Amino acid sequence: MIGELWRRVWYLLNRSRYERELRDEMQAHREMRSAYGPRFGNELRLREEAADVWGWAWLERLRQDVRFGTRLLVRAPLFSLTAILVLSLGVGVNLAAFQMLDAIAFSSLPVPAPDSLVKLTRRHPGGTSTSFSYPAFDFYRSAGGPLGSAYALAYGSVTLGDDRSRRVDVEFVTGSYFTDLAARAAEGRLLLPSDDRAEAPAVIVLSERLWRARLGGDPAIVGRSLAVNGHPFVVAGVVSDTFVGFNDSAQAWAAIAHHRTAFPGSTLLSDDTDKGALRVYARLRDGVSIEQAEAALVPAARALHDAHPNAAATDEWVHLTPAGRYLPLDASSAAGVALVGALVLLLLVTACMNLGLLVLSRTLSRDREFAIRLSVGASRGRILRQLVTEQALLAAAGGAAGCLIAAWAVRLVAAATQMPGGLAPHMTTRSAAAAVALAALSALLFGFAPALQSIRPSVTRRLRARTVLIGVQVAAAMILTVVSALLVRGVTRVTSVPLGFDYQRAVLLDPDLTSHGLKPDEAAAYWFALEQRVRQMPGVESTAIATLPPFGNRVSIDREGTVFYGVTPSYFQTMGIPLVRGRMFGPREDTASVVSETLARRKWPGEDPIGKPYRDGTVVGVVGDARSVRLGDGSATESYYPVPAAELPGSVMIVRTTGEPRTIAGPLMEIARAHNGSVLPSVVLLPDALDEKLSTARQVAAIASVLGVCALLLAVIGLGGIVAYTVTQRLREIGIRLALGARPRHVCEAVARQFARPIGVGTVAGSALAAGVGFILSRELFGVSPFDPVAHGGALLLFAAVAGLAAAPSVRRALRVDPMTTLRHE
Amino acid sequence: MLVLRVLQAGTLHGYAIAQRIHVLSSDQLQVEEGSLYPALQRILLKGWAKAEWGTSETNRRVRFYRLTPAGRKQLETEMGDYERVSAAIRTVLRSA
Repeated sequence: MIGELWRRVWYLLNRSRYERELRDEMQAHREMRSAYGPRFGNELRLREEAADVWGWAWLERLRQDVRFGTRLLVRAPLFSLTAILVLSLGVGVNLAAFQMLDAIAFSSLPVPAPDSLVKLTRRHPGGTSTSFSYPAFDFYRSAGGPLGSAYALAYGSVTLGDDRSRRVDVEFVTGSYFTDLAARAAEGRLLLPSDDRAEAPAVIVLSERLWRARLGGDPAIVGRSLAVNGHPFVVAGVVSDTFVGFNDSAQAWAAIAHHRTAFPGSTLLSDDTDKGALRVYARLRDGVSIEQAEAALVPAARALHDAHPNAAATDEWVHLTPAGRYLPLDASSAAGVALVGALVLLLLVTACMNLGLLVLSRTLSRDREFAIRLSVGASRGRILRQLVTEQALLAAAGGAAGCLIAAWAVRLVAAATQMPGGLAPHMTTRSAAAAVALAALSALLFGFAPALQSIRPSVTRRLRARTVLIGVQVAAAMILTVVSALLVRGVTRVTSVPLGFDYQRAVLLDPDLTSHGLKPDEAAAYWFALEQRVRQMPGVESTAIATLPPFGNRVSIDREGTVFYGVTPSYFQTMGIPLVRGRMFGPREDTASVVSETLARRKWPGEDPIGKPYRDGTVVGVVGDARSVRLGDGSATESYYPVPAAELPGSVMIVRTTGEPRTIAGPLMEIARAHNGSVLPSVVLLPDALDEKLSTARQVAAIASVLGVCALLLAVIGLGGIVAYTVTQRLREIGIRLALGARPRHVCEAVARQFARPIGVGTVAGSALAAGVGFILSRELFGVSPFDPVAHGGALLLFAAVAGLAAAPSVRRALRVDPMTTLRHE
Repeated sequence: MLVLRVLQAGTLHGYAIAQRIHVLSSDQLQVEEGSLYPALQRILLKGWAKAEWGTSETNRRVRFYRLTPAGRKQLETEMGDYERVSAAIRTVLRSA
């Protein structure tokens, strides 16, 4: 058996030699034989038969099919290119999405033993928290038990060098962070456990991206001094871009022991309340499961509570989640992933329908070819094989082009979202296999099925197939267009809805006094003196202190959606919020509160809110609605209370300028530094802060728009193709009609009638489904309304225009037709 | 089977095989001579015979076929099968 197989392969490899030998042999035979006796037979046929014995006939035929198929595709370049483009769009976008998901959610982090990494979360009956104090972290780390080693990260925003205007994200990490995660240094060295001691010299390591962008990628930086918040640190090295930490997008890292060096007065290491906000990760010991470790940590949490009552609640326990992946899928992110997945799959569906239409139109026009081939003796199987080969060729080309599109799209997205280099999605065998499978499936399923019909011609079934293909395609394209329109509208609504306050001439100054460890009385002194100085600056109209920075992420909110702002009395003037009734609270009026119009109307409908008790105080005034933190959240209301001393360290200052705020930012920083040299506040213009706040929504809208445009593009190709084909098919009829005096309008109607139903049904179904998707979106993203008439109407109009545009050339051709030419042509 | 049987006598080239079958069957088997070649290819592939180029008695370059041990065994099996089948047919014909 093996010998036979081996000989077969040998024959294949030495094919031409064996064929030549066979020919020579037969030649000799014919020369020797006499003219009498039995016939020799047709030599060519016999040679083929003999060669068939070798068992490679199918290969030969496949080669023929491939050659013939390629020739056909090359001879119809418009069809082939369109089909490949359509297929590659569908496959490419899906592949890109798959690769992203694969990289962030399914692949392990590129670190040693990623499966043993866990994230620690504090749980108690009252809620959950991911922030640990340093004493708590230290307790769990030294408690041993199921945890082999533990790391803590504390985030800080600092200035680097002399450039005071830009802040850099720094993670203060415990000493074994880099060594244990086996990070690679691009230059110099990384942090070592020995750096994480207060008496060790203060060092900082930079991300490769920051090093290139800010320091020109100069290797000589290693060993030099670099000011962090104005305090000297030494650059120890540069972390290679391939490093992926725990969902950490830091631009630089320093040892946690030197938090005090960057923020003098910091109590991060000693404070045992959870203000320290450390994120804690750990490694499980070999063979310990998450459940076992959680159980083993229960007594540890109790012991921690006994030792540091502030660091842990009475009934607290530690919950562990796997941390070996960059962004593990959980219930909340799964919905978003599913939504994006559905949208890109929808694009694939559109592409498939399109391909189906294209192939259908094309095979229809090949009826004659197939009829001839069947009648001269080709078997059905043989023609089917030919069709499959052609589809496979298309699939291969489409899949390859799809890979290119995906690679390009992924690089674009990775650059835009600043993914860590080691995570950057790349072509894996898994994703390449996915691409091939997708392309093959779509090409065969949707290209082959219509082709099948041309062998068993049935006009009605074919028409039905076409109707379904058009309908589904229109519906899918409509969904994508409407959804992207909804998103775009949502973003514009957030920017256009009156916020109720004037942010154009406002500057935010955030010194982050909590990080610097200022006590409430010190913070009060700091603010009092700073306000004095800032108010004297030319160009400053007013200043105010507030607990919640406008457009920030901090929010304090109750169940009814009321946001609580701790503010100084000048806040309303500084933010340009009008007083509607009553009065503002004065200084030292701790029990007074001011509510927004909507809150007053909701809480005391038809009554005068002034003098009503509210929370711990009395309402003294009503101001206009002003959303500065929950943008686009229509149901949010506001209430204001005088900022208490305890909240002063976490507060920010808002400065209102008389002119262009940009000119005031620099002097403001100088004054703040002159005021207190160890504290360097960040100064942000509110218009810029709003831009940044909206960037996520904008990105989502941009991605959706790209998908929508792709869908429209596909719709143009598909509809244009099918209309062109129909017109060609009915050219003769149209010619005769025109000759008999039909008006152009009638001809248009006749052509349009065929498409009216599938397009109509598809449009309605698409709009309805899109509203469903919009409903899901409206829960996740501010400002999206599922039944937005402008989005639906706009998408519909756009779609109609695009469909008209796609059909126009064919219809014009139909109307220009000369009856005599068409008749003669037949 | 016929080809194998003919080859059992000794090494032969294609034309000679055709001649032998022709003569031995007393002109009764009127098949195209060329159909010998697909059969020969099958035999080569199965490993029942080996082929070598040589010079014929008329000084032509021809391919000589020689039975391999596997080929001899195959011939025995086929002969055995054939004997059994034809004996069975004979019995049926005689007794019916």
